[in-house]
Parts: sequence; C-alpha cells; structure tokens
Amino acid sequence: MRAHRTLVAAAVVAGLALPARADEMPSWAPVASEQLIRLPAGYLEKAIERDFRDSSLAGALRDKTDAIAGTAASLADLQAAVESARGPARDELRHQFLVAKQDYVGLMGARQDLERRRVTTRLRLYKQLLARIERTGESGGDPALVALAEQRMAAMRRFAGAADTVDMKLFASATTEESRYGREYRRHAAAIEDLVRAIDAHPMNTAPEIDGRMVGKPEYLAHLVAEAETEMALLDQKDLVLAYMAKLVALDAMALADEVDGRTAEATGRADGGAEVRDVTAAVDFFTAPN
Amino acid sequence: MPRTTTLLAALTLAVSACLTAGGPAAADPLENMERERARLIATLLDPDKEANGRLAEAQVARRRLVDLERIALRDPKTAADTRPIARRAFADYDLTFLAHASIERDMAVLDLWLDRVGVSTARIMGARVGRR
Repeated sequence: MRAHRTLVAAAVVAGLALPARADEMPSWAPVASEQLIRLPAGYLEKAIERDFRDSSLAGALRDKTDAIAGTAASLADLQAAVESARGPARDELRHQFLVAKQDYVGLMGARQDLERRRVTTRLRLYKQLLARIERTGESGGDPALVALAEQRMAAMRRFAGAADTVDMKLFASATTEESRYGREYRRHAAAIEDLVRAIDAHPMNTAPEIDGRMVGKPEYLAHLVAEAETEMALLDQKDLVLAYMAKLVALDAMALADEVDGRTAEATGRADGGAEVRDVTAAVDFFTAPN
Repeated sequence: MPRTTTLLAALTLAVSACLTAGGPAAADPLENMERERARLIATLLDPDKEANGRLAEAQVARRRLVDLERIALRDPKTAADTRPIARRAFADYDLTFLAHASIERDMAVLDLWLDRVGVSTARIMGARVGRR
C-alpha cells in the first residue's frame, strides 16, 4: 500500500520534471571552423555527423536507446502477465507494470533531452556556417569595388579571347621562341585542368540535391537549418506525448492505490462487523430499551 | 670543428633564405609589369639609341612584357587587390596590358601608347607654343 502511494508521487514527479540535471548531461561542441566551411557541401553533413558520433552525447544517446529497448520489451511481458494473473498476484504485477511504464517515460524523457541538445547544437552550427559563408561571399557593397571586379572580369575575358591570336602573331617569325614561362605555364595548366576535372567528377564533391535540383552550399545549409527547425518542432510534439503518458501513469497509479485501499477497507469492515458497526442507528435499540 | 662550422653556415643560409622568401622582396606582378612597361616605353622614346638597336631591345622587352602581363592577369592575388595601382591598372586595358593590346590591334606599341595617353599627330600639329 505504501508502495502504491510512493508510485503515485513518483509518477506525478516524473510527469512534471522530465528533464535531467544539466550538469549530468554529456556534451557535443562542434566548431564552425574554416576547415568545415571549405568541405564540399555534400560531405559537410557527413563530417558533422561523424563528429557527433565521436562525442559523449552520442554515446549517452546510444545508452538511452538500448535501455529504452530493454524496458519496452519488459513492458510487453508485464502486460501479458497482468492479463493472465488473478488475485493479489495481479495487483503486484499491475504495480510492476506501472513501475516499468514510469521507467519507460523517464528514459524517453531523458533521451528526448539528449536529442534536443543534439538538434539545438546542430541548428546553431548550421546557422553559424551559413552566416560565415554569407559574410565572406558578399562583395561588400562598395560600388568602387564592384566596378573594379567588373573591370577585372572584362580584362580576363578579353585576354582569354585574344591570347591565342597574340601567340600566333608573336611566334609567327622563326626567330621568336616561346618563353620559359609560356612553356611551363602551358604544361602546368594542362595538369591543373586534369586535376580540376578529376575533382569535379569525384563522388565526394558532387553538389548536393534538394528535390532533385542541384544547389549551392548556402542554399544547402539553409535547407539543413530548416530541417533542424522541423526536428525541433517534432521534438516539442514528442514532449507533449511523453507528458500525457506520464499523466496516465500517475492516474493509473492513483486508481490502483484507490482500488487496493477500497478492497482493504472493505475487508477490514467485514472483520469489524461490517456496515452495522459503522452505522450509529444500529445501536439505537440499546438506548431506547428500558434498563 | 670544421663540421660544426659547415653546419652553422648551412643553418645561416637556410634562415636567410626563409627571411628573404617571406620578407618585403615578395613579387608584386602588377608592379613588375608596370616597371617593365615603363622600361619598354623609355627604350622606344630614347633618342640616343640607334634605330636597329632600339628595335632589337624593344622586341626583347615586349616579349618579356607579354609574360609579365599574363602573370599579372593570372595571379589569384590580384582578385583581392583593391590598391590604387590595381584600380588604375584595370581602368584601361589597352594602356595597362600594352603588349597584348598592341598585338591584338595590330599596332606598334608606341603608337598605341601615344594614342591612349592622348598624343596624336593631329594634336601635335594643332598645338602651339606658349606659357601656362
């Protein structure tokens, strides 16, 4: 009986205080480093996931998932046992079932906290990466610099268009030879082109896709931020489900305690003479009869 | 002892090589190109040089200038260069990349340069001597 009351109190507490203490929480602290920004967009998410897998937070999440799987299995066993049991053994099994449900809700709540920490960290990292890319990618807005960049591009285009003509005219006479710089540059440029082609064709360097459409790094990061936000919203919903589960455990525990109390009181009443003893009118005859 | 001296000398050489490489002597393609172009124009305008000697010297200088212009254009550092020298350089392609522009336009280097700085036969003929 005392156990049932303790369970009611514990279940209520479990429903109200699902988050565990912050100082016991394992951590994951990724940094929005230059190295991470330079990674190909398609590989970025994998690198972050790998970094997470090596963290203590990932280890704690794995432990909690294993524990939840074990508790879920025992819940099914206990439920089947309760249905087939009778008498005091059934009460005891119902009590164990409630304790197991309470453990399950507690574990799910703890896992939920770890998951929230993972998603929050991931979201913060994506936002930092996106901000850094947007900051370094902008032209600065200075009209003079924009004009300079345009002039430079125009010069490059004109040079690229005229370089072959210049070479042909320059080396038309037999006395003029190609310079050492020209020869070496041509050789290196061919090697660079081969390497660039290999890099472009590398599977780890393929541009990421969203809905079958190739996207750049900023757009892909914005997509990852939106995904993390979605995950946060779903976690909020899962929290609500857990809170309702905790409330049901508390109500079940109260019902069980009430039922056991009722049966105990009934049994005690019968031993003391039942309703007649508790009813004051039953003794009226003793008082009305002459002595 | 001689071994120690050799080692010390080698170390000194290595350190001085490192200092030279990272020091202020770092190449600036735009400045090198400007310098070579000034030398080419000075050669072409030098009245003391004999015609044949000037032509031979100018051809070598133009060949060198072609390389320097390409180095300056292809240098990835120029993409981030916002100094006045870079702004002036890209403001007028014909004047800056003189060797390429003259070959492309099929003009003599000096003719193109004079044209770009605003000196033409008509303007010289139309000019009059006076005090400013």
